[in-house]
Formats: sequence, structure tokens, C-alpha cells
Amino acid sequence: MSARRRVHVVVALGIGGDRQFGRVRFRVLTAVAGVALAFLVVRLYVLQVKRHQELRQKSESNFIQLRRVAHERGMIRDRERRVLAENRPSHDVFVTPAFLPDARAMLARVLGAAGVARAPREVADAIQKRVGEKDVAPVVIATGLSPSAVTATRAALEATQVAGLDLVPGDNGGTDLVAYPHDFATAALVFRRLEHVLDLPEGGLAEVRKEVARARGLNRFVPIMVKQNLPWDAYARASHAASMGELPGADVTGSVVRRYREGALAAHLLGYMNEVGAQELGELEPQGYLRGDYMGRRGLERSYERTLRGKDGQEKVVVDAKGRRLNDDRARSLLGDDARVEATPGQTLVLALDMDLQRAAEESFRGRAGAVVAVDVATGSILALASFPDYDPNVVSGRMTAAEKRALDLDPLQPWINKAIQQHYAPGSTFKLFTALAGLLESRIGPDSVLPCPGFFQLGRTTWRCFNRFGHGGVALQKSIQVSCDAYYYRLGYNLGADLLSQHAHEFGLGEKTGVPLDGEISGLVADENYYVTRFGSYQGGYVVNNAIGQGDVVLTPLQLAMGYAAIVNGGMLYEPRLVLRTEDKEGRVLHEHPPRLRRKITLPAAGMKEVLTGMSEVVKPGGTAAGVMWKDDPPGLGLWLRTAGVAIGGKTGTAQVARLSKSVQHVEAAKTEYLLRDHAWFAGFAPAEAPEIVVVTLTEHGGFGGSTSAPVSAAVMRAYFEKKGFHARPERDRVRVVPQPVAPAGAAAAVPDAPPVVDAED
Amino acid sequence: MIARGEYGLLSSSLSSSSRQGGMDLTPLFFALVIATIGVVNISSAAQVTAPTLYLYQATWVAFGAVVALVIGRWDYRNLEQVAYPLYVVVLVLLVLVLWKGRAILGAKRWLAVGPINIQPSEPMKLALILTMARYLAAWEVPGGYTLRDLFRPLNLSRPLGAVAAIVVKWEKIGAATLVIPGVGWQVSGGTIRTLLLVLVLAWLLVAVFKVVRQGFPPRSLVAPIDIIAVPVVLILVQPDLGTASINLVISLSMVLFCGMKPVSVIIAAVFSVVGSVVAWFNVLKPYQKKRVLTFLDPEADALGAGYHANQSMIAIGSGGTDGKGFKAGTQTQLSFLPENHTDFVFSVLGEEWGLFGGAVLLILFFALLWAGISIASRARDRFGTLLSVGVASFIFWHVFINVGMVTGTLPVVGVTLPLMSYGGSSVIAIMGGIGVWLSVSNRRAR
Repeated sequence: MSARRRVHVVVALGIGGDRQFGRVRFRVLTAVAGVALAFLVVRLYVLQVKRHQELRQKSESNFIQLRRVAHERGMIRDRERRVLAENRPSHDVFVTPAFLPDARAMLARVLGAAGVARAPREVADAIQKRVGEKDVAPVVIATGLSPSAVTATRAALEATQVAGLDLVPGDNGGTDLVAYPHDFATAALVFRRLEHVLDLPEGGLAEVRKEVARARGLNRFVPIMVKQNLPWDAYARASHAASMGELPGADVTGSVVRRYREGALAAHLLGYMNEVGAQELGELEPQGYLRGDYMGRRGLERSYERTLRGKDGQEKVVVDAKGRRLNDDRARSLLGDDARVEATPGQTLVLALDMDLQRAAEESFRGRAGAVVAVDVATGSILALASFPDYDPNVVSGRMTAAEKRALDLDPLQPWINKAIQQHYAPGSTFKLFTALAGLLESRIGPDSVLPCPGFFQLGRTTWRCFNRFGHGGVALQKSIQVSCDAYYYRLGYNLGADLLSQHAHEFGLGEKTGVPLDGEISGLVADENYYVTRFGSYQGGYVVNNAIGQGDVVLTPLQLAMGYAAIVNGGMLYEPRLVLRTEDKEGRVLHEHPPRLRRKITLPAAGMKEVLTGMSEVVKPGGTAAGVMWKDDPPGLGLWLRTAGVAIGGKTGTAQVARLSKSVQHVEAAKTEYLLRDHAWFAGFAPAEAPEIVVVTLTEHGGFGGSTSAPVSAAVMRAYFEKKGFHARPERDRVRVVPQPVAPAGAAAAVPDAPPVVDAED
Repeated sequence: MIARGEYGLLSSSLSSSSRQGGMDLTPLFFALVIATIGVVNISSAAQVTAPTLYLYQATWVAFGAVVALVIGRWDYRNLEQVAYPLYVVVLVLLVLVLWKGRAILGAKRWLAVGPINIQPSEPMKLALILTMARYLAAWEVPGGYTLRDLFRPLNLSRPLGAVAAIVVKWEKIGAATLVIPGVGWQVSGGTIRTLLLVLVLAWLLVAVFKVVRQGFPPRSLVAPIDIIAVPVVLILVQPDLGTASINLVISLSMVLFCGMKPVSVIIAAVFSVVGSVVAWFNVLKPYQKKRVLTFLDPEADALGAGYHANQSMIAIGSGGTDGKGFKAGTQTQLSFLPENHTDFVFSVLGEEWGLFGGAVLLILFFALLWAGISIASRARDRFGTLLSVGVASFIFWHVFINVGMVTGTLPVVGVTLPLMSYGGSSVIAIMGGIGVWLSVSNRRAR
């Protein structure tokens, strides 16, 4: 311990400080501290001067949150600006599992504060057991609490905000902790109250409760939908209860939902919307889509998505570290002036569609599946476009249940498909017009050329039968259309060959897409020689014979046929189908006109058009294939109205064979055939016959015979069209009494106007 | 330059003729200036969470000033007698903490003594300063200490420690694998156990041989380094890396101040580098590694482990030169900055007062340290000098580690900023240290 002794000696001598540790040592010490702190100042300089900009931006992105100002989607209106699709507020109820009262946790806290040694679970069960009894006395949890326990319990009750627990003076002067079973906040109580305000039976929310019980981890913070689109009274009750604090964990919130005001009307044309999927989000996010957004999936909602969808606005808000929004003066001063960018609403589509015609088409449709298309021939505007069966886009756009979706998915009649554009059918006799026009244009026939119809057409050893097996005799153009003679067209088609027939059909837009702005349009087919070379290796002259009468390798969509007919009756103007007349802003100011778009001007034959059109007018007259539409009272009143209002219609029936029946079977009632084996029934009509304005094409899948199933539908649409133009049935006394002429029995099948054709018919 | 006059900047009238020179109140002055800034800063930092907190802090500061003056009047040499007993008591508490401590967030740091919780690792800093001052004052080695002097390889504490470790961690050692990085060697737990036992036995043989030859000198019992190592290891296993490091660097600063042979310093440096590499792969817990990694690149994990450091850097950096203004720091007021009135209080100052405020505070700390070192240089005896140096190193390391941590220069460990962070015990501890300075200055050499 010599060192220690020396220190004492040194102290005794009065020598200290500097003489023990050299002065340099203290200077070094000071310098080390100085350098170290200077280093920190340099570090501050780096952060606060060099990296200031970067870190200031980071601090701003910390507390400034961009919130979306949702845009309003454009509406869809018909040509008279009647609303088809709009946006409506919806009041919904959600529960958030994490915020539902947790009885046990609250009890644990209160019991802990009161110093009561009872298990929270046991107490909760005791309270729960009394629920449902009438005039329930409070459940006593603990008696004779000490004053300090009372203070602690009161604080705990206040902190937890728990309802249904109270401190009351007890019997022997002490204080009791009691629970009122009907007020004690549990998740079960919240659901009971929800069932009450939502008018649901007891246990009506069992499914939701199960879902709540399943939520784990962060999912407990994801709200679960209880009920969407509350009726007003339920909404009033629910929001009142929520504001009274009776529904902890439940939220009544507003949202905007797409609403298709007319339900299923024009469902396939309008389309529907649904939520953006997680895997699409990456692609769509740059375009402004967010999780939970809806986008158009089919129909106009899809093809005009960019037009209908507006642009979201943006609002800057100040949030704290927990994401809570602050809205005080300080927050406002941090934001500056450009805190809010308003949303741009989407454009409203004004359609060419006429709701009345659409409704007429849908209400008068006489089959189970098919399509109706009505075209304004002067502009190519689509006045009606219906497909059957349909669906309610309100249901499809909302939260469809699995059962509803399965029913639609598995329906053999394929309700998802828009049969006017997404399905093709053999056009049957409706195609004969195009064969005729091709013949006229190629000078293979003249208006008056008479071709023999012995009841069949023979080529080598193959025979094609006319549906009238006794033969029509000599047939000229007009009659060939009126009676729909097959042999005439077999011969003409053979004469033309596949290439010419196909070429002229394509002129009319057949076998190619019409360019309608809807998704999933298919092109159909009118086979040329090349098609057969590809398919069979070579072309034989006989291949085209069936095509000439619209069977075989000719398949068209109803829309193609309608546009082609429109071009025939309007002098050769082939238009693109025009769905949208114009777009408007929210206030109804016109933003963009969508003028008719001519695809091409078709040269029609100089001679023969009169015979073609007259032939079609004859079709609905006695002796024509669709005479029943005028003369049979089916549907009631339609034929009479057409006859008396002075609207002359023309058209062509068609029957597309689905299944080839045995040739020995001559006459089969449609009703007796299995549904899916029945023929497709067409009617392509126009009116007025003398100066056509409108073309209406109706296809009834498995409708049997076009004259009786499809023609009345077209006629009903025409009636709706002309009624709007002021045509009306003339009073009884003005009527010219027209007696149906007894039709000369030109053939067994055609003798009765609406008789189902012989099986071979138009084959 | 160190103020070297008979009197410091401020001289106290409290001094009496029997105490030469009178009290140098300069450090107390700077401490109070810093503490005032601290109170104002806390009034902003805790504005949202605890609006009246700064009043409590002001009270603590006032109380602390009284404590400083009382200690200042007291003869610091009394502390020399207190040092070892205090050290032993705190050491016992540290052992108790491991045994009976309350675990908070996985670390056993707190000891419930009746109604209050104490954290023995904090008073250990003071006990260490006193003990080291007393020990080093009495132990002079011309030319500086050598590692051999400090470690005394043959003293008893080494095998005792090894035996204790083997007993306590028998299972764990068996299950562990020591990885020697770089060469790819792996040593299995069983081998380690065997090696340790062999080492202990070898040591025993040598020691017995030595004792037989030279007798048993009492200083063989405890090596100087054990005074530091035992509490540091006890704190490290709580685990509390921050406080353990603070205790270590304060003590080592005092040793270095006394002087070490240059060769020993170099050897020690080499060994600490190798030691930290081995520790990285074998001793550090995953969360500790994560902290260190995060410190190296705080933005890599901005929402997780790097959240504190990152938000703190954002706060300071966004303050710029002039700051955002008093009570206008968005990081602070919107609660993005965690612990903003305790460990991260400097970030509040940096955000609201900018580079200007931060630099002024650091300059004030430098002034405080300068005044303290000046007192140390004028102390009457070696104990007084070392005591003052210990207090200075205590303040310095707290400032350096805390500011280094909030500026993203050092890993985030829980170290407070003296006189700025909220907390009564912290304020009293610092003010007590200032009081020691006052006392030393009151009895300085002529």
C-alpha cells in the first residue's frame, strides 16, 4: 500500500492537482471532449443542412396523409334522358370485431380494481344467465367494498366506460358492485340490439357472429358487413342507437352504390360492375384504382369505363402517429392552401336506346332464350338490344351470394351471354335476301328470271329438298322471297359459288364484327372457297348450296343481321351500331356528340330491289310465312293494331335447324320436341314497308318457327315505335274490314300462315 | 484553455476560511442553464402527453441544485470512506435483481423495494465512479498501467468467475456451439465445457504452486479490472446493453485518464476487436444484433427496429438551421417521435430549434465539462481529481451516446441526456455529480 501512503504524504505536503497529473493530461481530456462534441455538431450539420430537404419531405409525408375524394361515376340514360344507371347512397351496418365489447376483459379490470377474487369468466356467465328473464334484479358481484376499493372501482368503471355495472349502497352500510344483465355490454348484447333495430328475428345475425368469432389478428380490425342498403326506418333506428352508444363496435356508414333503376332492363347492354381484384390492382393502380373500387365488367359499363369513371380528387389531412386525423388551426396552417383537389365526376352516357322499345322487346319476348335488336336504319342507332335470359345487374354488382352466382353460372340457357353479339346462329331463310342481292349484282338472275322449283335441287347424286316437296313451280324473285322457296336459292347459290356469295354477304357486314362498342363480340362466318380448302382440302360446288339458304356454314349474330337488313332497306348505307348518342356532364351540358358512323356505302342492284322489298312485305300478308302476326290474334290486339294503325311491315322469317331429324319424320310439333333440339326461330322485320325507318331482328333460341314466335316480338317493338310517333289504332267505324283471303294451297306447309314448317323446310 | 486562476468564473460566498479558495460555482451555473433549456424543451415535448410534466422537472432541477450545494459544502473525502461499502451494496442489489427482479419486456432490471422500484444499474454508475476514484487514487504505476497490472492473470476472481459461469450456464453451454468466424471452425458445447474445466484445473495447479512459493497476497483476490467487469457483466445479462456500456466506458475513461502503457492500449484494442467479432456471433441476442444492424442502416427497417432512430433523424433533419419553432415540431407534437421527453428529448430540441439550438446546447455541455475538468485539474488530491474526472466522464458519455444515438450515429440504447431528459433520479444523479465538483473545488489546492 505504498501508493496510498504516498498520496497521504502528498496531501500532507499540500502538493496537489497539477503536480500529480500533468497539466497536459487535462488539456488532452478537454480536447477529447471538445472534439467528440464537435463531431456531434458536424453530424447535426449533416442532418440539418445537408440532408435537410430530404428529411423535411420525410417529415411531411409522415404527418400529411393524402385522402381520396371519391368521384361520382357518370350516369347512363336512354335517348330521352331517362335514367338507366345511377349512383345512390346506401346505408350499411358494419361491425368491427376488435371494437365489440369484450366483457371478460372489462370485468377483469373492474374486478381487479375492486379487489374481488372472482374469475371474470364465471361472473360474465352469471350475468349472461339472467338475460332474457323478465324484471331481472341486478346481479350482485361483490358486497361490502372498502372505501379505497370503491374509489378504485369507480375510476375503473369510468376508464372502461363499461355499461351495466354500478356501485350501489348495500344492505349493511357497505357498497355493492352490481351488474344489470340487460345493459351489461357484451358482444351478444350488441348483436341482440342490432337484430332488434334491423327487424331481424332473434339469431338472424348468427352468420355474422360466426364470422366475428373467426376473425383473428389484424383481421379483427377489418369491418364485417352486417347489412347493406338499409331501408330508411331501419337506418333511422340504427343510427339513433349508435349515437346513443348502444352499439359499441358497430358502425352505420354511408357509401355510394351503382343502381340500375330499371332492374334487369337492358342488362346485357348496360353490363355490370364489381370489385377490382387483388391481382388486377397492380396493373390498375397507376390509373387511379384503389382496393375496394368497382369497375365495369361487361357491356357499356366496361367499354365506356374510361368515360364513365371520373377522376378522384385528393385531400391532404394532417394525421398523428396513430393515424388520427387532426383538424385544428395548427393542422390547417401546416397544410397551406392547396389542401383539397376536387374530384372530377364521370361523364353521363346518353344512349340511342329507347326504354319503351326495350321494354316492349323484353315484355313481348315469347321464348326462353334469344335476342332482340332494333335499329334506326337512317343512323344505325340501336334502339333496343335485349338478350334472354337476363340477370339483375343490381344483384350482380352488389354482393352476390354464392348460391345466386352458382344459379347464373350453371343455367344451361347461359344468362351471362349477350346473345345479340356474343353468340352466332345459322340465319336460316333470313339469309336468302343476301343470296338474292348477290345474284342480282352478279347478274345471275334478273328481277323477273324464273327458276324452276320441282320441290328439290339435284346435283349429281345429291338431292336438296325444298320445304315444299310438291314444288313451287316456276318461281321469280318476289315470290321466292314471299314463299321462301328453297330450290330457287339452292340453284342460285350453286350458280354463284361460295366466294361470290361470301363476298357479297361480307359487303353487308355479315360474317365480320360490326364494331359495336361492347365486349366479346364475335364475328360469325360466311364460308368462302378458301374456308373449305382449309377445312376439307378442296372445294366442291355443292358445298355452297346449303349456305345459300342460310344453313350450313353460315352463322351470324342477331346484331349483324339487323345491321345488314338496315343497309338493305336504307339504300345501302352500312352503319356501325351506334349505342351512345352523346356524353354529358353532371348538369346535362353536352360534352361530346357521337355522330353515326358509316362503315361503307354498298352498291345495291339497279333493278330488283323493288321485288325484294315487295317480297318481304308479302311475307306478313296472307300467304306469307309470317302472316299470322297480322292475322292471328296472338298476342291479343297486336295484329289488329298493326292492321288498323296503317303501319305496313315487311320482313323475313327464318328457321335455323339445330338437330337433323330423320327424313321420315315429316311434321313435328315444336312442343313435342325436346327443347334443346328445337329449331331457332328468326324474324327480321322492317317498317314502314314503303319507307323503312326501323329494323327489328328477333331470334328465339329453340323457338320452333319464326313466324309465330319471333315475328310478334319484332312487331310489338315496331308497334311501340310507331305508337310513340303518334300512330294509333283507328276507331272501329273507320276500319276497313279486311277479310283474310283464303290462301291458295301453294304447298302443304305454307297453306296455313303460321303452320310449323315441314322438317325439311328451308334446309 | 482551462481556467486556471485561483478562482473560477463564479466564486461562492459559501466558502469559509478553513476551506481554501471557496466553491467554484461555474459548473452549477452551466448546469442550471442547461436544465432551464431542458425544462422549456420538455414543456414542448410533453405538451400532448403530459402538459404539466415540465413543472415536475423544474421542481426536480431546483431540488437537484439544493442537493448540489449541500454536497458541495460537504467534504468529498467522506466519499472515499463510503465508496467501497456503497459499491458492495449496489453489487448485492445487482445480484438480487437477477434473482428476484421484475421482468419488464423480457429484461430483469427493476427491483421492488417495498413500494418503490429501483434500477440498481443506475446507482452503480456513481458507485463505480467512487470506487474507481478511490482505487486508482491509491494505485499509482509510473509510466501507466499495463494490461498485466489491470488483469492480474492469476488472481482468484478468474477461476471463480469461470466456475460460476459453468455452474449457472452448464446446460446452456452444453447446448451452444461456438462459431469462430472467418475460418469456419465450430466448437461444440461439450468441448467448451471440457476446455473450461481443464483451464480451471490448470489455473488451480499454477495458483497452488504460486501460493506455496510466494504466500497469499490479499490483492491476488481481486484484480482492478474485476471492479469494472463484475457489475458490467451483471448488468449485461439482465440484459441491458446500454447501461452496461455506460458503466464500462466511464470506468475505462478513468483508467485511461490515469494512464496506460501505449503497448497495452494497442493490445487491448486488438483484443476488443477480436472479442466483439466473437461476441457478435456467439453472445449477442438477436434483438441486440438487430439494433446494431439497424444503427448501421436505420432506414432499412424504418417501421420496425429502425423506427426510433429513423423518426429521430427525420425530426432533427427536418428542423433545418433555424428549427420549426417552439412547440411547432410536427414530429414531436404529432407523436411520431417516441420517448420524446426522455431518451429522444434532444430530437425535440433539434426539430424545434434547429442546428442553432443543438449546437448551443452542445457548446453549453462543453462549457460544463470544461468547468468540471478545470476543477479536477485544481483538486487538492488524487482522489478529488479522479472523482471529478469520473463525474465529467459520466456526463460526457451520457451526452455523447445519447446525441450520437438520436442522430443515428450510434445504436439506440436507453441512455438519457443529462439535465435534458425528464426524470427525477437522473436529474438528482447529475446534480449530485455537480455537487461533487463543487465540493472538490471548495477544497482545492492553493
